[in-house]
Amino acid sequence: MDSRLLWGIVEMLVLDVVSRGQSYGYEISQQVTAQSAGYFDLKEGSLYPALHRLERHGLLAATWAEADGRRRKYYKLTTAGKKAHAAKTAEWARFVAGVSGVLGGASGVA
Amino acid sequence: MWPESLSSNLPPPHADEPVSLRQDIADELADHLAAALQDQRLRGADESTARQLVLQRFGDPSQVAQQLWVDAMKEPIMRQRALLVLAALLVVGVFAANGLAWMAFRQLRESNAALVARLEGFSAPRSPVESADLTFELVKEGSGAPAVGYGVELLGSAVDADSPLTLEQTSDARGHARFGPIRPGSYTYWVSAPWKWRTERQGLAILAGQTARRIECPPNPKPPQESHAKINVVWPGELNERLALACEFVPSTPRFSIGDVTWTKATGFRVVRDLNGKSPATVQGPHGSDRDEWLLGRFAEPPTQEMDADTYDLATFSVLRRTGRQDGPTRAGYQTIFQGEGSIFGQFAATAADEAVWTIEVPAHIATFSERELEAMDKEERVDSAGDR
Repeated sequence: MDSRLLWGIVEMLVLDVVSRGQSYGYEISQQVTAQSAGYFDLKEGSLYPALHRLERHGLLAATWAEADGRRRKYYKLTTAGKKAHAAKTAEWARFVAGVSGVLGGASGVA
Repeated sequence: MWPESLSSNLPPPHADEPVSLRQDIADELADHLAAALQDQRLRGADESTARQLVLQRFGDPSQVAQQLWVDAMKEPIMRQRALLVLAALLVVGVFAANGLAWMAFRQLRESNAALVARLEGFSAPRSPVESADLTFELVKEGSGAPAVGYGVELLGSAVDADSPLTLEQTSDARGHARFGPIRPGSYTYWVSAPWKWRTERQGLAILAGQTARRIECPPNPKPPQESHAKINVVWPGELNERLALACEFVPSTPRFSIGDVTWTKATGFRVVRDLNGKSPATVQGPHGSDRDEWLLGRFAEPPTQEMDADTYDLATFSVLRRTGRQDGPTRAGYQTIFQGEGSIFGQFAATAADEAVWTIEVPAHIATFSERELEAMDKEERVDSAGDR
């Protein structure tokens, strides 16, 4: 996918995965890959900076817990994060509808 | 190569760094790598292949760790740099303020010292040896006889005085003009003959003690004789009554030298002919004086011009227009609308013996102004006056 279209998409995908329940980095990347049928393959070099950025901006809250004998960092949505997720989801729906309308109209004419 | 310790590859510790930041980054990435490795094992890969696949996907864990550390510390580092810049500016500002205060203090101290010195100077009696007795010895050129009745003007400032000094003396029977006591300083002086001839400005440094100066003067045995020449201005045709003609006469040889001193003849005069007057009118002003100081108060006076017997040139002639700005016949009530060289009229020799009549025929091309042109000038004058208000 064109990287310019991905601008802001990573944050939206992360917020969406975490909105279903608290999660950690590896799990988030696996869910994104699985739910996009392999279309989005979030590299760790993009995923973790996005997670930390959302945490600094107060959209995600982090807690540490023991798992498999290791420290694991879990993320969950804050109240602000929930609002941001809803807004981004609605905005994305409008974007998709707009693009689909144009593409569908073009194919109808042709 | 499987990373053993991610935190060891991070940048050096920073003062504002949270205590757990390094460990948190290392633990989070290590958990990710371990989970991914476990996943690969569950998929059946051997240990070596599993690690290779995990690292192939992850990339360089140290680089990701460094990026996370930089992202987390960017704000504190920038804040610290901003504080450092602010502190540096404050230090510079304090130094600058101290410098300005020191300069102001020095200036105040110097001005106070100068004031105290001046006050001491006022209160303390001045020593007579600090002053000078200045005597001008005026003699006639050639004979060396005393030049009696000549004037000397002295202008200048003493080194210990702020305001300039102006003094005048007339030479006595011995040709002496005395000034004193004079404080040492830088002065200038003029010597003038009784008949309006005077030297150009001369410089003089007065030192303590006696100072004398010998000046050779024109030996004129008697003042120039008065002439009763007439000025007859002839205008071409019928002219507007608001016009006048001003002629400025100067001696044909206005300067001459005696020794290394240059003398000038201040014997020029001006004649103004006003067509609105009942008769030719004249006015006399010192040659070289400001034109605006002319007083045209002698309209309708006898149409003769008293002047020293000499040869004169008509230096300039001007066509004047009477304005509405000022009542009465003063120069300020006239505007110059044309000025030309007077040499076209030749020289005039005024002698005491006869009453010469100098006829000045004003050329028509300079003296003719239409009523429309004069009205336009009136209009411009009204606009200017409104603008002044």
